[in-house]
Amino acid sequence: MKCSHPPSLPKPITAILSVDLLVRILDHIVDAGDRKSFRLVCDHFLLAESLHRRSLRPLRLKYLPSLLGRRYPSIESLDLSVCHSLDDNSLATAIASGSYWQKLRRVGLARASGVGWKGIEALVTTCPLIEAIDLSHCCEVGDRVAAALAKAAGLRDLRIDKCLGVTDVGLAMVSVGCGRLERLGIKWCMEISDIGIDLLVKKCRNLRVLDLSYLQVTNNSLRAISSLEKFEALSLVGCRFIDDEGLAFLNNGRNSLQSIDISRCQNVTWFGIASVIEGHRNLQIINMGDCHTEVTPAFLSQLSLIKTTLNILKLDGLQISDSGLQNIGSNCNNLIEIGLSKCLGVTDKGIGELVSSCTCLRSIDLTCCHLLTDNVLTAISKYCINLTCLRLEACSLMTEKGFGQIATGCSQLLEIDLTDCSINDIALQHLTKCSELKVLKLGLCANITSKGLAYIGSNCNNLEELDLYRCVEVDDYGLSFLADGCKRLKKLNLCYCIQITNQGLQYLSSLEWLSDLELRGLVNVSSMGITSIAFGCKSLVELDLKGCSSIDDAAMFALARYSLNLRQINISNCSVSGVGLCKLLRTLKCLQDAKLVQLTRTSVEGFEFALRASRCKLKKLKLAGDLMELLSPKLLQMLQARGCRIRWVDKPMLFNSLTIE
Amino acid sequence: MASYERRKVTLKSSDGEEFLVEEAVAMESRMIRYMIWDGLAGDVIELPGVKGKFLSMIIDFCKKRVAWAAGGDGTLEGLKSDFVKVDLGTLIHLSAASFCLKTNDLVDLTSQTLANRIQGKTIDEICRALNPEE
Repeated sequence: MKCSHPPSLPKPITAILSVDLLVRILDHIVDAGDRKSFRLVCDHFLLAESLHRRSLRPLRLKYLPSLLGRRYPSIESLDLSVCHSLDDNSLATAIASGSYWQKLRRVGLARASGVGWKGIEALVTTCPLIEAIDLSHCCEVGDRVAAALAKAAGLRDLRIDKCLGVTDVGLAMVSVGCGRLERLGIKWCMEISDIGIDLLVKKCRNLRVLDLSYLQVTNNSLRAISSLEKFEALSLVGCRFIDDEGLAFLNNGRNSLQSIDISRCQNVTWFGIASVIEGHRNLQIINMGDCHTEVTPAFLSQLSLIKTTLNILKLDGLQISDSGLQNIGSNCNNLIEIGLSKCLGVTDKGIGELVSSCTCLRSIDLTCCHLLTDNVLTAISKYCINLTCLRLEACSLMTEKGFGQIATGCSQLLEIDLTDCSINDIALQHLTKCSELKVLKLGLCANITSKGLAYIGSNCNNLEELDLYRCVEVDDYGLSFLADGCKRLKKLNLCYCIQITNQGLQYLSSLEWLSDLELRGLVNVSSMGITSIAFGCKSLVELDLKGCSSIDDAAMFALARYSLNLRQINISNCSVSGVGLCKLLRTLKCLQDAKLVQLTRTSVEGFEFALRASRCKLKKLKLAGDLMELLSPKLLQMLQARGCRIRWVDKPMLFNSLTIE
Repeated sequence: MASYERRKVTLKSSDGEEFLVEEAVAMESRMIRYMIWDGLAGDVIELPGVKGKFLSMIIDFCKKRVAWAAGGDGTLEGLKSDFVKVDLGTLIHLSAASFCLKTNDLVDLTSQTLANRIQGKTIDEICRALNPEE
């Protein structure tokens, strides 16, 4: 750790606050930032935190022996998804070298594209207690890895979403070997069919949660699944071959299902869901967004059967009338969350009826319900006082009057989406009275100025995410208020706020917890601004600088020197040359995702050199299509062998293509 | 159980203060309870890990809780929040004392309150708050 040695507190305090007591206090401290402050107070607190820590997310494999073996004796959960240069052999060697792996219960290897059967086999044999493994998005994983997974007899939670190589054979091996499986995710594993699901259901009788989204399974799979006794949650997003007949199989008296997601299933209608409700009177979550069906009165009266338990209902993209909404209100008055995004026919009257009956609502999604006006906001503020999340994207008829009512009525609001609404500074003055706000989205609100940001900075001190996409009146002065008031800010989007200059970025550099920063199209920002960001924002993980034409190599040097946690970067259309690019790709150890399109100042040799120097830690690359012919085949082979996926983008090579505004 | 309720014990703190309490109140502390059940306690129970000032506050809370359980007015939540309306230094001592006496719900209450006070502060602020002058 490069931090200064923490001072020790005087003996009396450390004698009173014994390690046991500190561990009890730590049980109640959850936020990562707070835990970090805690452990940096003194050695005593550091010891307590090390003993208490149950999960770890290392960036480098080579430090694991000392971390797991000596410093953190209670680790049960290991997340290796950001560990750079993780490949099969290094993982297998690391596991073989120490006995501290034996206590592990959960291992995360999402997107660890270098891992294969050797590493998994070593993991499974060395960790007898292992109950959860996450291999999602490891696209190269196939049946050989599944065979290795099958040896983990205690496995209860397995995610192999988007492991494109897994077929029915692999799934069969896992079903036979892991009989205690309770949760399985096989989203996008397109090779799996009804045969695999049939055997899975026969062997893993304890299955509770199953995600079969986008698979080409048919109604026969549903017939098999209906025989499971403890089945609770089913996800069938985008399953084209499922229809009402299949859903009817689920109506067989088991009554265990709590959650069903059939969004984007083209052949499912309300009748199918109605039969599921008939058989499972404890349903809590129904998601039927984007199905090609109507919300009929018959369906709505069926909903009254699950009146007491239904909490979440999503009807995105469906046509619904005022009487329909009124029916929902009277039939499901225990609703906590309702999704009506992009629904046609939603008006003030309907929503008014809905919220007057469903007073427990905590989350309302009205994205793109263009006809709604301030009347809806008045109704919501009157009835839904526990509201925490409100999405009103593109509801442009609403004014500051309505927002003022929301602020007074719903003081617990945590998240609000006002993208493309007519928000001005006065509306913000009202809205920021919700001082608990964590997420505020104001994209495309071109009337917001520094005055509005001043309100945000002074009142919303807990803000973690702020979206000011294309809020063109925002300038440096406004950013100074943000930097002073919103110290916990983690995500900030300032794309195309062209008035921002280096001075604004200087203000932002005091935000220690800023991890995701988007600065697309800021033509007035130069490398000096980026240097101050790199120096001050120590937690920076994602940075988007596309179109910042004044950014050059000096910014790359600064990022390479200071932004050691950077994992994702977009420098397309910047004035970066081969020298800066090479320094960036070589030095940043954690970099996994780089978008390098239209770097007009970098030559082909520059790319070649920089990509070789990256030492194959990159997992995703976006490059100009022309380079496919120009880069050496050996380099491309090497990158692909180490698990890097390259996207080739065909855009004409234009110089100074940014003078659009 | 009548005789058990009316019996009194003396609790002696580390700095020599003595408190005469009903056995029912003293039994709120698991440590004392097990001592009494195992027959290891005389009429005076010594508690070398706890100072008089904090012992009296804990005894006070236990008395109020026993009275509430027997059908008094007020709420348990109200009693608990009154107990932790103290400055940080005293809270730390109370937490350590509850831990020593094994009154588990007081340990949970005080550690939760301490966690709430530490959350959101910077390292310097935590250090200053824990300064032993308090």
